[in-house]
Amino acid sequence: MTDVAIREPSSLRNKLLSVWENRWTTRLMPFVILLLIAFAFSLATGGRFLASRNLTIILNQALVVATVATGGTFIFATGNVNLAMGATTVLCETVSAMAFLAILDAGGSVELGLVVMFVISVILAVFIMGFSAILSTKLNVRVLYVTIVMMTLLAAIQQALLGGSTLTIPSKITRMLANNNVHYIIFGVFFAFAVVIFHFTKIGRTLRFIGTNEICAHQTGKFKKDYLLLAFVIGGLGMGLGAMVAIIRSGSVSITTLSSLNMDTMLAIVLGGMSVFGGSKSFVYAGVIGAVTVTALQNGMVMVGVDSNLIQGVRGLLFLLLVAAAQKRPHGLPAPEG
Amino acid sequence: MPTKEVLLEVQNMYKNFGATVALNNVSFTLNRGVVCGLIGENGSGKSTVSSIAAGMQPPTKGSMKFKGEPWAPPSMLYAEKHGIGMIVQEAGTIPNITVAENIFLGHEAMFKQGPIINRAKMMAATRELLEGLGITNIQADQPVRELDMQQRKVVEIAKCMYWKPEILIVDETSTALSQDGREFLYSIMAAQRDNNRSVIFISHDLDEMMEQCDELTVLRDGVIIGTVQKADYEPSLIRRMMIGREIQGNYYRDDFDGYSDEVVLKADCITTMEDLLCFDLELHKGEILGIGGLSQCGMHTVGRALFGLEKLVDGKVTLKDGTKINNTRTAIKNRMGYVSKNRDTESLGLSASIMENIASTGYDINRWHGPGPLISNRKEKDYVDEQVKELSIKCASKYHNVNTLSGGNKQKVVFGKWIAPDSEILILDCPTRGVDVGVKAAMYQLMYRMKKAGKSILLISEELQELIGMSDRVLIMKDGEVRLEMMRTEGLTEQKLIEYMI
Amino acid sequence: MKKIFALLLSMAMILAVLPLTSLAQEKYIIGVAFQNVTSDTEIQKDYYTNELAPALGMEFIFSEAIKDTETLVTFIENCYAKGAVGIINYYTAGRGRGAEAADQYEMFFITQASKLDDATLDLEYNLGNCGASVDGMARAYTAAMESVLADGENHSVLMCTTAAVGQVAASHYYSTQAMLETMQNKYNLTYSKSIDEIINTDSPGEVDTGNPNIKIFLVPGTDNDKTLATISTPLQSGDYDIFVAVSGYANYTSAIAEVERAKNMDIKVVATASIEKQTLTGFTTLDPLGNPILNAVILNPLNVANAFCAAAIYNALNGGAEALKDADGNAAQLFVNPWPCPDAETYANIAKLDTEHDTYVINADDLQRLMVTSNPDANHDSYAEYLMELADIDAIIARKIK
Repeated sequence: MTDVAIREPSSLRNKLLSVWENRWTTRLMPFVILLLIAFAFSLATGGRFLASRNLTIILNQALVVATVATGGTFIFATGNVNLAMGATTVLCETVSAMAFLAILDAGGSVELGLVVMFVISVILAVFIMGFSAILSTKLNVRVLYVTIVMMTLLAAIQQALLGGSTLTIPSKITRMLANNNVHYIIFGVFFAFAVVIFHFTKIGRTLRFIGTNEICAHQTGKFKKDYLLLAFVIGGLGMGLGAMVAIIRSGSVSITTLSSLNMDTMLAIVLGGMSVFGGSKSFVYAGVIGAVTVTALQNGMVMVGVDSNLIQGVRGLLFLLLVAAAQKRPHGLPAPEG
Repeated sequence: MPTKEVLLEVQNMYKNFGATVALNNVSFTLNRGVVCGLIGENGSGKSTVSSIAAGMQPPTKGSMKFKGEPWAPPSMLYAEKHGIGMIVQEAGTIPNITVAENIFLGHEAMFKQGPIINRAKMMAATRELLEGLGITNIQADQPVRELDMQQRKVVEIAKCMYWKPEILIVDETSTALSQDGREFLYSIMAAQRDNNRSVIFISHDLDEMMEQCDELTVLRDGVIIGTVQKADYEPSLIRRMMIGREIQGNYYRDDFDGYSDEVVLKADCITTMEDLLCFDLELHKGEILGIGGLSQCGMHTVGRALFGLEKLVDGKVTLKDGTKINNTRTAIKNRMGYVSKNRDTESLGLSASIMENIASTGYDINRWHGPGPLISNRKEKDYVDEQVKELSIKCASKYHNVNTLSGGNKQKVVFGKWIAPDSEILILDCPTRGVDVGVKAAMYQLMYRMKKAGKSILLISEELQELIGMSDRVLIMKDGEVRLEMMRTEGLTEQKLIEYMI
Repeated sequence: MKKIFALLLSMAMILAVLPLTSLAQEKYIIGVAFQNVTSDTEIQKDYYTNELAPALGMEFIFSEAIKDTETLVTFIENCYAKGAVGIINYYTAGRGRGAEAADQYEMFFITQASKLDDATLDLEYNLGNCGASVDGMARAYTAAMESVLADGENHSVLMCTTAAVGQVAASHYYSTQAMLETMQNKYNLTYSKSIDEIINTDSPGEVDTGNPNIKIFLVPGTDNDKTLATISTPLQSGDYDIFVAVSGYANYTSAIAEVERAKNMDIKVVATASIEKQTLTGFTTLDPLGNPILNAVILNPLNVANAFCAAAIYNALNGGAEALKDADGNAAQLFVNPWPCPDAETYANIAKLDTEHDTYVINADDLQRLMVTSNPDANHDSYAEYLMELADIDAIIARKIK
């Protein structure tokens, strides 16, 4: 018989591995990547990259995606994919802009118009998303399929409303809103709200748990249908607010506005460190970090003079590498339990 | 007469998973014509060393020799083809393809004619194999999803045996099998021995191991403690080798303490979609009520129905104050808890941390202030820490994922989840399945303590010894009905219970 | 290990795409935001790069097709990141927001459009517009319509109005108005709605003309592919024998030819065209009934506006910004007149313009007149005067070709 042998003394390798496997490593990796990108481009541009105006540009370019993606993380946390985020945001932009212009045309005040625009955008988005969630749970159809249908339907509605025209909010008004940092305030307040709900309340924890194991969540009294609706409502709030941020940024909406918003949002969420399967590795800041990272990458490449034809290709390749670095690879094929 | 030729030699083997050491300088030999049992607690390394021999993964360091030649199989397919086959403990079949396709998975090229695979030949070969093994209730062209868990395991066994392995590794397969299935497996193992081949048998069931194996090799913490020959088998010695200490007190209860008359949970003529027809049951305060029977007798459905997991076509489940339990939320609100027999798929979020799993029952308890919406991280941490400590959950950190834990520790997490909110009524469905001896003992002690504290436990189990050892009262079910009710005080024995089960 | 490697590789990639030479910031970097990218765009890019850039000491950055304001704003921001000091914008719907964005980053901004955005007139860096003369376009379309209606028969018109709705492109609006008025006058039509209401209907449809023998079908929208799909049904009905386009017609010639063949009818085409091979082909190729495909085109000078826009920014960068504003110090409008082109011979001559240094309507030598460094009197009025001179295509041909 042998006694239990003394283990190999702990090595530097083991210490490093412990750090690597630490939960904070996963959480902080996207930030580290962003900082590395900023550092690299700052070097390459002689510091111009980090000039406050350029950083403001990056933030402005990322803001719409960051807002929508922040709301989107609630849905993605449950392990569901929503393909109607872009269409919902754009439709809300359209309808609220139409309402605003109608009020101005009818002689109403700018303030009234703005309030109505804001309220309509948020309520419409929440309604659309809530409806999608109920459709999914009542008909027992996967969220992915319901949102594909909604995406097409919403695009058709927008087409019918807009036709070939472009709605333009008077630039004085968007300028006034931008000068008063309304878009930053909208994002800031929503982000703070989202952080509190997602990381400090039962709602966020439950959504993540449902994404981890729906059956186990059910057996601990957390019903998917109730929480899915909640997730969609909060997601819808993000989309309605994202529409407002988009209006402030561009001041107009046409049939091609924000056509890639859904893909950009999903890219941001994944690049920000969240798993596509949701679950416990879900962080509400993933969307923000991802959106800023993508925009910073693009901005940096533009600054150093990469050919615009190459930027998309380089962006795609870098995305693959950064995801490989940041995400834990499953031992087999990707799966929710992965 | 079996010869003493060395068939497999493992030399100075190490295996690390990240910072975790699974095997620590393990060396052993396996002779021809021997059924060798590998036994140890979860996390001892027995599955790891056998899976390395079977080609599932490479060692970090060390070497092997098979039939005198260096052995480093690059894959399980290779190992299978060259003499070492393994039946894994998890599900090893693919549901949506046929039995034949499962058996020849990865070896389809054997039936290739030009670019096309000759399915008829594959079917014929499968039929021949099944007949040769005496398997008559499984068809070659049947999709595996039509088979139950046991039949799927039999398919896996057949798959392994096609290659006539010199070494058959059986990794905790017997727990998934009923008596019939186990007999079949034992006959395969005996045939191996008789044909001068060998078996490595891994199980938690010490009695089974002592009966089937010619020798037992004990592992603990990735190290071989020793090998005991059949003639020297002694259960308490082997347990001590496994755990490294004496088990304090008795394994099961040895008291005849009673329970209150107060009925805390009642099933009133409940009928479910399947299994149960006007089923009645009463659970009392401070009682451990055991329910036993064959796998399909309906006892698992009883547990689910009482917890609100099963839709009731008729009847009701009520608490002592008349509250109806028709969903899990109501059940939990009324301080009920449920440990499912499908631990990994139903009781745990495997990719979540220990912290998240245990805390999942405490969201309403760990609020910051009163009924406010915010959860206090501090309270939550304390909530979880208490369970980790009380249950001695072995983990590097409570923030590590549950899927890094051994089976026993996973089960402790499940227990902790329900004990933390101070559940009054616990429904435990096969709570010690796949759990090693040391943890089992700890769980039995915990159940007893809970009983003494006035909690009520419904213990559903397929292990008669466990029911006999722990229950105040035992119900034996068959075909959805209670066929026997016996009190602990009447002297429970296996013989008395079995005849009502079958 | 693999993760660290992936991280290092990605950092190496970022550093590897750095340009090898440092940027010598002697040239002004100007962003050019195209609304559409067609074969014309390549000709314009050549002009910018080979003729304007050396003459003005500029380097031009070209955008992809700008489809919405968000994309324009992003392009402007990216140009700023590259050190650009001016923007030439073609995306008319975004001229207001674009001017604001450029102004925020202290970049001079000029749009190729025919209508100013009132809200941004006072922005310091907004130099206004240089676009198609709406009066000129209206006159040209009136003349073209009168020529195709001259036979005294009943005719019905299918018209692509592109960005006419809401006067997003004012020239499109006024061209459509000219066609509707000409039809109204010719056939004494009584429209059930005002012409303005008709033009501003943002969905395609038939106009109520009050005369069942005279049909008019309008198709708005800037997306060429969508428009092509939309005109298909009315075109194939065979009811419309005049096709009018306020911007390019090239997308539609195949569809028109098919209907002509199928219905054995002649569809007269009146359009704004580009100077390209296809236009010559349109004049010289005969349809199944022996008529030329194109009947009357209005040619917008391809590079005239480009020259004026680039020169305007040049002057602003050299202290002449104020001179380009109007009397109130606000952004001002400059108009480029279209060239009428009724036949193949005229077209053949026009087609020779803007192909090389000697034939550029405004080459590097002509540019001196616009540059404040060589002509201190260059201002808004002198620009407008020069543009009026350039309306005379015959004079240009005489100067540059013959």
